[in-house]
Amino acid sequence: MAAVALVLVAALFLPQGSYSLVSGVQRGGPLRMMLTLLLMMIVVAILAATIVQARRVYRRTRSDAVPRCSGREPAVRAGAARVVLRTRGWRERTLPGGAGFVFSKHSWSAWSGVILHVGLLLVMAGLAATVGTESRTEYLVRTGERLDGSAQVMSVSRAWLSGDTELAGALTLDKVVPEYWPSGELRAMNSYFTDVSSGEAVTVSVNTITRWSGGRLFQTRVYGRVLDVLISGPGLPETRYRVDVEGVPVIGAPGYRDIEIAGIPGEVRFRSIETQGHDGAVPRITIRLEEGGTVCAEEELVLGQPVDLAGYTATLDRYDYWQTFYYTQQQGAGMVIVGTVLVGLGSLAFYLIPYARIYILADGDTHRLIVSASKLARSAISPRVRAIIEECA
Amino acid sequence: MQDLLLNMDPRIHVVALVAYAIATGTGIAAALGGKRGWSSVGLAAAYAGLLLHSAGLLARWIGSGHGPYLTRYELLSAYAWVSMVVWLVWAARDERVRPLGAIVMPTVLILVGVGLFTGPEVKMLPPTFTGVWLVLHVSFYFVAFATGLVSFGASSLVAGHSLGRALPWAPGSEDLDALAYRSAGLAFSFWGMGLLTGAIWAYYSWGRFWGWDPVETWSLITWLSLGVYLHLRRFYGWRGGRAAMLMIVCYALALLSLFGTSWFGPTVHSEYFS
Repeated sequence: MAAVALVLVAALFLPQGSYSLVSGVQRGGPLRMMLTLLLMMIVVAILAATIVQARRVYRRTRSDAVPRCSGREPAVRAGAARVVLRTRGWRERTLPGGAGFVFSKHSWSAWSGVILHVGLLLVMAGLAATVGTESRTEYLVRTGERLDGSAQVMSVSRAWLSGDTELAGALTLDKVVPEYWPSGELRAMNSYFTDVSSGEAVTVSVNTITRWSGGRLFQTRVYGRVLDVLISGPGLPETRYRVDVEGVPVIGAPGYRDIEIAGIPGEVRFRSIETQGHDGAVPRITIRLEEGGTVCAEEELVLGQPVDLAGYTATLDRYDYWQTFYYTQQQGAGMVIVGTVLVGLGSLAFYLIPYARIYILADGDTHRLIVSASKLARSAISPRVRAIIEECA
Repeated sequence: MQDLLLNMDPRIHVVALVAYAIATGTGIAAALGGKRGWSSVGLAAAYAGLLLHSAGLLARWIGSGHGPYLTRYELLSAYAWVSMVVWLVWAARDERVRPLGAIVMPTVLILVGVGLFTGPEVKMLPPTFTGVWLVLHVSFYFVAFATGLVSFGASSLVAGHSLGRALPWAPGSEDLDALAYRSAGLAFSFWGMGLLTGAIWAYYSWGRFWGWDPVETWSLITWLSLGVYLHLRRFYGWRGGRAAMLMIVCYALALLSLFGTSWFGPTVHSEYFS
């Protein structure tokens, strides 16, 4: 409690702008460090609680937490009540310091807390393992090209316990098929690969993990289109230009790329827009020559057909999707899932395993009776309790 | 057929809203009149409203082709529906839960009403919205919200008792206190499971369990707060007004996590739940 309060109070005094629980907790920020510290303290607390509870299960005792008398509880003659409860099969334990006695049934209920806390520990350990062992490499692959060790690497991130992330095999990206909603929004993007060594088909869909070669392949964004354009003209020998037009291929939403070509005055702008064809999305690509903000020429590019662009010739030789794929390896995910299942089972056990305790607590010169049961409706056991009170009051 | 169902859905919701308003009004009138419990007229209107509400949600589900967990309208309606079901089922089993309608019914009324104002337009399901982990994630949060609402209601009445504003129609403070404790335990369990299954869903969708997204962070803070509440009650003997005030704070955090954060700014969740 003190730790939680400390962190929350300290968070109030952090410099403005250094953290935000509205826009997210930034990596490396002070709040992130404080929350991590808090989580570590909670892990230690859960670990301690688990050990204590496991010890109690081993010793077949219940928690030492004793309810407090408010003075309104019924008074009982302790000696008579103890005899009655013992003869009714209740297990008796004497509370330390002459605080009284506790009678219990259903000692299995102690397991629920143990299972729940072990589950939480597994989740925490699994999360720590996934973060600490994760290696992630982002590759850029064009349709028809290979995703292997020689593929263009966009980014690499490795945690301090991670190993090498080199691809153990090779895949060829055969085709990319986007799927659209009638509104033109992208519904799904599937990339179809062939495993070079086994010949097996491997499909990667956006935001869906695919297991491959001891790791996981996934795609979180659609990079865009890549064009091969041949341009020639006065004083410019035919040259191949590779132009990437970034952007999610939403039907009707154009993507642009401006390039400068030595020998051509002004700027060449490429525009790619997806249109809905009979058998899927079809890009409509235009090329425009601009000089000083003035459009000198603009033509639509059709595959293999040269177009005249103010005296220059441009030919669309090839166009493909250009996709980025993450290849990641990490350990501990199974632990998180097993932990989650245990937390669920432990929570269920709290409600499904019945327990009942009767406390006979010293309160000055008298003893008072407190009932603690797993059911909200205490009336479920009250007839029995009433009988005891009548016998012992 | 789908268009017809989607056209019918908001109209059915409006009629359900009227039934809920009648239930709330008669319930409040019964409470002000000093009668114990929820009036039978109010209860009947609540059942009728739930029936209509169920029909509206079903029409929406069939019409849109996906469960009610994508737009704010769908979410608010689903939260309200689960809250009603939890309260009515619990109240049918235990009469002492019935007066909590004084808290549950106005909340449901607000949720459905605000939902209708946010617009019932259908949004298409993003590619990540698949799999059993998503269904578990959303379902657990629905139940956590509903059980938390029961706990919040009971705690509010306990807080009223402790401040010397005991309501004549409300059950005894000890019964309410026990009810608040038990339903907070349920809320904690379901909230935790929602958090964990959400993390697993994120792992399968985005390749990571945890991203410190505002909704995730606030949700974790809420869960920890509920855990603190339960531990204080279990091991430190907190009860009565003090515990009730803490539960009210916990539920305020829960509301902030579920509705506040995605309204304030962009998060992974507000990208979809908008």
